[in-house]
This record gives sequence, structure tokens and C-alpha cells, in this order.
Amino acid sequence: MVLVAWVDYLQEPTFESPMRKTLLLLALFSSILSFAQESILKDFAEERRDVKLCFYPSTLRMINIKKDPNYYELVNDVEKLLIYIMDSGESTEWTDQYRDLGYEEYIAMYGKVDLVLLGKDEEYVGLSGSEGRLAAFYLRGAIAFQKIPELIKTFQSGDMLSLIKFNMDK
Amino acid sequence: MKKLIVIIIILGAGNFAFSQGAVMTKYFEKYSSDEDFTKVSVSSKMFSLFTELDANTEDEKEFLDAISKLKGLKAVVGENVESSESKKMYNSAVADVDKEGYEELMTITDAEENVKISIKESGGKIEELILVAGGKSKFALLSLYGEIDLKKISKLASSMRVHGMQHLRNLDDDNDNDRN
Repeated sequence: MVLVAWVDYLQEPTFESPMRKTLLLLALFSSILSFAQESILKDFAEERRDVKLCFYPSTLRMINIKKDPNYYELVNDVEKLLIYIMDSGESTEWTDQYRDLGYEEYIAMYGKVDLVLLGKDEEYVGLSGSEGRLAAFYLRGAIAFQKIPELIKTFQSGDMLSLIKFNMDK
Repeated sequence: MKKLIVIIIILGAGNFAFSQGAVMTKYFEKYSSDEDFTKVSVSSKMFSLFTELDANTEDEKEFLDAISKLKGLKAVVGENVESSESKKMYNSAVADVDKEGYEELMTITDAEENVKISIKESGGKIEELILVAGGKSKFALLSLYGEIDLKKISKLASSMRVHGMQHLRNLDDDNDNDRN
């Protein structure tokens, strides 16, 4: 429905420039595609989730209560981060759908503990699960990987506002 | 005719690439649905991320240098395996590795665990290192592939917490002994 409205809008006489039309169509389709890729995880997790956290640039900066510069550098180019925590779920089912879309494997571990990280361009999905608990995420944007070790130390020292713990304690 | 030669070369290259990981593939498939066995796969994409890290010490620099040349790591690790089963698995895996033409690099046999480290070379360079370990209740099959420098492998072994990798630390001592 939204797509039909957009096409009608683009066919109006005010949109005479073919370049403008092309750019708008490209922007439209890339946003639809991006939504579709995010929706694979959403479709899987929404019914099973205990906790859902959705971060945008402003909320990502907000949890940095000690204003750690490493953290700012890490999340500076992150556009969106979705985290789901759930009780159970077959992890291979939805990660395979991402593989089919051309997401490449960074790491995969299956056994008593499951751990998967897949990525394509600047989109990443992953999971970590054990003993019936599963945490899954979708991240859009760029991550400064070289800042991760320092950031882990920051998280361990408790300097970061633990939204996950806060939600679990509710 | 040219087309036929090209097709034969492509098929040949495909078979060669497949045979490199044939042992690992077999064990990955065999234990794919067995939760008592942990299957680990790390790709070159993951290793390439390490190159973005800043090295603060000489050791870290060597570690990052070694890791940047790896194409992947695969491991099948079983804990709480029955002792008799673990021995059988070890012997069977060693036989599979030998059958695939790997060259023995080191064998460690003690009361706790048997370990065999083998390599596959191409053009004078080590392109795959495979480790089989079988203990009283443990089994591990680990494969590292890419461009492997034995002198730097011990650095990886010290930093990666994958069962079996601790045995690779011995390679450094072995190299030192060879040099002296």
C-alpha cells in the first residue's frame, strides 16, 4: 500500500527529473530491503521474547553514564541496535535465512553453548545462547572493532548503565 | 578443446579445495546434532577484524601478524566422552588424517592425553595444521588453515581458549630445539 502511494507520488508531473526519480526509488527500495532483513530476526523473536531492547544513536549514547570516549567511538556509526532475550528457540532456523541472503559467517559455535555472528556490508546479526536462554541481536551501521576490548573492561567495571539487567530485574 | 581443459582445471581445483577440509567436514557432519560435542568455526572475516586492533606489545604484534594470515579455524571438541570411546575416536581421527596425506609434525603421548599434530604443505608453505587429541574423557579435532607460520602458532595457542590449542604451545619449544 505504501509502495503504491510512493509510485503514484513519483508519477506526478512535479517529478519530471529522471535522476530525481531514480534516486528516490533507490532510497525507497533500499529502506524496504533493510527492513526486510531486520524482519527475519523480528519474525523469529517477537513471539518468544522476554526482553526487547531497541537502541538508536541517541539512546546508545545515553547509557554511557561515565562518558567513556572508547564507547562513543565504538557506537558512533551505529544506526540501530536491536537486542532480544528469550527463553528458547531453534537458532539455526533464522540464521540460515540470513545466510541465504548472503550474510557471511564470522564465527559459529554450536553445542552446549551457541554463538553465531554473521555480517553483510554494514549489517550484523548474531546470537549467544545456553541452557534454554538465547540472546539475539541485529545491528545496522559500522562498529569500531578495535575499541571492543577496552569497552568490555568498561562494562565489567560496571561503568555502563545496565539496561539489560534493569529489564531482567523488572 | 580449450573449454574442456578449463572445465577440467576448475573441477580439479574444486576437488583439491574440498579435500583440504575433508576430515574436518566429516567430523562436523557426524556430530552436527550432538550437543555433547562443541563445533567451532571461525572464518577469515573474523580474523580480519583482529587486524584492526592496536598492538601495544611485541607479543600482541606477533599474535596479530600470525592471525591476519589465517583463513579459518574449525574445531570439534567433545567433553565427558567415555574413556574407551575417546580412545576409539582418537585412533579413527588419526587414521582419517593419515589417509588424507597429512605429514606428521609432532606426537605427544602421556598418561592423560594422546596428541598428534599434522600439517599439509603446498609450495613450501604450511597451508593447514590439524591437531587430534584424545584423553580420558575428552576428544578434540582442530584445524587451522591459511598461511601458517609455526614460529607464531604458539602465540595463537596462548591466546585462544579452544581445547587442544594448548598443545600447539609445544611447537615453539620444538622449533627452538631445532634451531639450537
